[in-house]
Amino acid sequence: MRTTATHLRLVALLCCATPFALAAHEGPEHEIEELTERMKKHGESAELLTERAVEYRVLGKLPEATKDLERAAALDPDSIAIQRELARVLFLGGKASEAIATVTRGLTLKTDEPTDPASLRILRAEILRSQNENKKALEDCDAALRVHKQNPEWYLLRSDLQKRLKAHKERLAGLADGIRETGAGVLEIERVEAWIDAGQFNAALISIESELADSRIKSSWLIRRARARLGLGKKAEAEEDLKNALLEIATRLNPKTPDIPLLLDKALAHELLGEKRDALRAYEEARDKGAPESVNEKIKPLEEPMSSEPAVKR
Amino acid sequence: MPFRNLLTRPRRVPFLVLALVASLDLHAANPLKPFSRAPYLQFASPSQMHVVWRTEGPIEPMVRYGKELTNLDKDVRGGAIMVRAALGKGPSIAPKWEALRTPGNLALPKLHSAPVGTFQYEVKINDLEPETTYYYAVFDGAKRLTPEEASYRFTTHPKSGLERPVRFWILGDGGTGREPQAAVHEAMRKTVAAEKQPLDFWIHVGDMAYQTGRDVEFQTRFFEMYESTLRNSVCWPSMGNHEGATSSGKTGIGPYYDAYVVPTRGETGGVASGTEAYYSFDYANIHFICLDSHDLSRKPGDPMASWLKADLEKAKADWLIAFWHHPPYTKGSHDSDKETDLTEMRKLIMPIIEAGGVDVVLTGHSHIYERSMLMDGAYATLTVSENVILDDGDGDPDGDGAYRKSKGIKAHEGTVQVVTGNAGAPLGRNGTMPVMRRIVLEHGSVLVDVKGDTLTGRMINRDGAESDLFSIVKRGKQSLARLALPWMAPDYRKPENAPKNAAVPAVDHQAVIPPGTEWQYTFDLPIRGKEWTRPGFAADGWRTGPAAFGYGPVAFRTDVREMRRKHTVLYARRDFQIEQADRVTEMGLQIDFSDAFIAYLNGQEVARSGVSRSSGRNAQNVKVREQKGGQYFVLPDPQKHLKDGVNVLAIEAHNSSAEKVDFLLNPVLVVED
Repeated sequence: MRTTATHLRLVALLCCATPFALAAHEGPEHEIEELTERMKKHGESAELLTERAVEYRVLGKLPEATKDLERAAALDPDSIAIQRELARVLFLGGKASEAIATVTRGLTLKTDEPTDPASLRILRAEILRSQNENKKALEDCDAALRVHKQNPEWYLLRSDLQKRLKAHKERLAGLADGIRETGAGVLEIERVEAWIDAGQFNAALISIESELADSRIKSSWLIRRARARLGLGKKAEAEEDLKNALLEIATRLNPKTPDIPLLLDKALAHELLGEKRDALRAYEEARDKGAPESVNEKIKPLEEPMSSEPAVKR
Repeated sequence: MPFRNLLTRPRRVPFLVLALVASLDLHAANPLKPFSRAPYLQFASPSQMHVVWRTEGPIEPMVRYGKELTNLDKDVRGGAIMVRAALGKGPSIAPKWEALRTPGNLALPKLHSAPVGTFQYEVKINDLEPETTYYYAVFDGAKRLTPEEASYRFTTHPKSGLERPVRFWILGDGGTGREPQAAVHEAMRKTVAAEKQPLDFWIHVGDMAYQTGRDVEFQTRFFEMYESTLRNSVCWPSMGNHEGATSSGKTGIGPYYDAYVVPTRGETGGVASGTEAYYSFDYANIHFICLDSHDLSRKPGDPMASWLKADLEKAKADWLIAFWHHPPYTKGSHDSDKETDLTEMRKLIMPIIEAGGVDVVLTGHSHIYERSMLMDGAYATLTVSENVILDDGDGDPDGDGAYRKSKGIKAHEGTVQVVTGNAGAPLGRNGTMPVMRRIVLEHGSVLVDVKGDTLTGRMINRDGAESDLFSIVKRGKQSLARLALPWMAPDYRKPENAPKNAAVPAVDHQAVIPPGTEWQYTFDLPIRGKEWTRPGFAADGWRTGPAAFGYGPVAFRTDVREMRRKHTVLYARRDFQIEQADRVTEMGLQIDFSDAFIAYLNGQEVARSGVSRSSGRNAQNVKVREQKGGQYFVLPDPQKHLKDGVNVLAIEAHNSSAEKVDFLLNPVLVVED
C-alpha cells in the first residue's frame, strides 16, 4: 500500500500544524500568532498562509482559513494541495459550488503523483453527493478507484452512491473488488447491507449468522438479520430479533450521553417494529448529537401523520 | 548509536564548548553502517514477526533465526523478502545511483522521500511458536551484518485470550532528537532493567518525527534514538499530526507508512481494517485499538468509526485499550475545548469507545502528562466533571485505592484517559482539565503492567522517578454511580509573560562550521545586491580571521575594534562541504551576536534577528540586543537550500550604533543527519 509519492512540501503543511521551531508549540492560537508575526517580518508566502489556514481550520475559523487559502492559491496557483485544502474548507463552510469549482481547477494542474487527482475526485464526489448529484459523483469515484485501489473509504463512498442510484449489481461487484483489494471488515458489512438492499436475503443471512456467532455485541447484526428475515416474510422471527436488539442496546446506551451509532440502531429497530414515535425520537436525538445528514432522510417520512396501527415492516 | 551531545548552553565569551567532528563528510560520519536504518521489529503475532532494515544500496538479504543465540538454524531469504527502494528521478541523481536504476529495481515498491539509494527489506518470519524467544541475525549473502548479540532477539505473542503478565511502554511527542527525548528513553530502560521485567512491546501515540515526519527525520529522531529498544520489541504506532505532514492516512503513502508494518486484515485479532491508518491487535488477554485521529473522518457512519464499532462488537478480551494521537481531554499545550480535532474525538469517537467498554485511552499531542479519574460520558464542550466521574479517587492502590470495574467488558463502567505527550517535545500547560486527577508538567513516559484482573500504570519521568501511579481492578460486579460534585484539581492560570522554550540543537548534531573557523569578512561591500552571499563569489580583498569577531571589554579571536565609529555592519562568509544533502535532517545556526544579524544560505535568507527591515547598509530599525548569550536558530528547509558539494553561509552582523562600545559575532553551523 505504499507506492511512491513526491509530495510537495505544501502537502505537508496542509495536513498539520508545522511550527517553525521545535520550541514553538503552544497550540494553534500561538501558532497563528507566530505565523502572523513571521509574515509581518518576511512578507506573505503560500507556505505560511497555508500553515496559518490549517491552524484556523483546527480552531473552526473557516472564513479566516478560506481567506488565507485564497491568498495562498493566488501566490502559488500551481499547487494542487492548496486547491484541495481550499475546496475542503469551502465545502466545510457550506459553499459547495465554489468548492466544486476549486476542485475542478485543481484537476487541471500537473502532478507526478497519481493519487493527487484521485483524491481530488473523491473530494468532488463527496461534494456532489451532498448536492444529490449522484451520477456525476459516481463517475468521479470510479475514476479515482481506477488509480488507487487501497482505500476502503473510497469503496464505501462508491457503494453509497450506487445504493442511491439503485445500481445493486454494480454495487455488489464493486464491494467484492474492495474486499479483495483491502480485506476491510467495513466492506464486508457493507456487502451484507447491499445484499439486503438488493433483495438477496439468503446470501445476507449466511454472512449474518456467522457474524452473530462471532460477536460479543450483537444488536447491529440482530437488526440486519431482522431485515433479511422480513425480506423472506419471517415476520415473527424478525420481531424477536428486533426486541432482543433493543434489549441489548438499552444495556449499552448511556442515558445522558448516548452514542450516535447505537441511537441509529435503536431508531431503526423501532422503525422496523412499526414503533414510529420511538423511532422518530431516537433519530432526532441522533441528529442532534451529530449524526450524518442522511438521518434527515429517515426523519422526514416518520414526521408524516402516524398510522395508528403498529406493524413490523421491512 | 552514541549520542554526541557536544553543544553546551552558550556563554558570552567563549560562548561554545564544542568538540569538533573531524569529517565534514556526512555520509562517512554515519555510524549505522552497514545499515542506513538498523534492524527493528514490527507486526508480531503468536506465530509471526517482521524484521525490517535499510541499507544504502542493495544487498542479498537474509535473516537467520533460532531459539539459541549460537544456533540460528532457520532462515528467510530471497523472494520471501519484501524490498522497497528509493531510486530518485530526474537528471539530478548522483552518478553512483544511476547504475541502480535497472528495470528490476525500478519495478520495486518505492520509498517515499527516503535518500536516493536506500533499500528497505521487510522480512516476515512465519510458523513461529507462541511465547517463544528467538534470536536473529541479518545477513548480506554469507556476510553477517548484525553482531552475535543477545539483544537481537524477539519473543512472539501469547495466544489471544490467555492470561499472562504483560508489560508495555507508551510514549508520545518525543521525536525531537533533543536531550529530553534521550533522557525519557533512558529512564524507561533503566527502570525496566532494575525491575528485571523487559518490555513485551511499546506503543507510540504519535509525533515521533518532528517537524514534518520526513524520512530523514524519522531516521534521526526516531530510529536512531530508540534503536536499542526497536531491535527487540515491537513499536505499535499511531500517526501524529507531525507525521501527517508528509504521510496521508487516506492513501497510506508517506514516510510513516514506509516505516511501519501493521496488521490490516485482522491477522492478529480484531476486525480487518483494510488500511494501516487504523488497526487492532491482541496481546494475551488485551485487545488494542489504534485510530488515526489526524486526517480521517471521525463521523459515525464513516469508515473509521464504523470499523471501530465493528471491532468493539467482536472484541472479547478481558481488557480493551485504545490509542491515538489527539486527546479528547486536555489543557496542556493544546486545549480540547477549542480545537476541532480534539473536540470531535471526544464528541464522536468517545461515545463509541465507552459504549464498547474500553478501559483505557492513551493519547499524546498535548505536551504534558494528564491522567483522568474513572470517567464516562463526558462528551460536552466545555468539558465539566460533574456527573461524568464514577470514581474521583487517585487510583493509587496505596492511596485512595484502585479504580474498580466489573469483571469482563461492560459498557459505561468507566475509562481512564492518559495523555502522555511528554516524551521529548517542549512542555506546555494552558489550564486545568477538570476530569484529570494527575497533571504533571515533566518529561516522561508511561509503563503499564497488566496482571490478571489488575492494570497498573506509572508515569516514569526523565529522571526515572515515578510521577504517577494508578490501577484498575476488574473483579466481581461493581455498582458505579455518577458523582455530582467530584474532586477537582486546583485552577491553573498560565503565567503572564511565561518564558518561551528556547530552541536547542539536536542531540545528534555535528558542526559543519565549528567554532573558531576562519571566515572571510569585510566592513565595506563594494557591490550592491546579494551576490556576496552566493557560492562562487570572489571575495577579493576580503580579510580572513577566526570566529569570534568582536570588540569590547574582553578579548576576541578576531578583534574588529576598527569598526567602532566607522562601520555598523560586518559581512562574513564561509564555504562548507556537504556530501549528501538529502540526508540532512536539520540545519541550525548557533550564534552569539550583538546586536543583530541576517544569515544567508547559498544566497537565500534563512535567519534574521534584530533587523526589522531591509539589509546591508539599508538595514532599518536595528535593535539593541538585550539578551546575553548564544541562541539557536533552526534554518528552514535545509533540503531546499542545501546542495551536494560546496555551500556557503553568509552573515551580515549589525551593530545598533557605530558609537557602541562593543560588538560580537560568533557563529557555528550545525547539522543533524
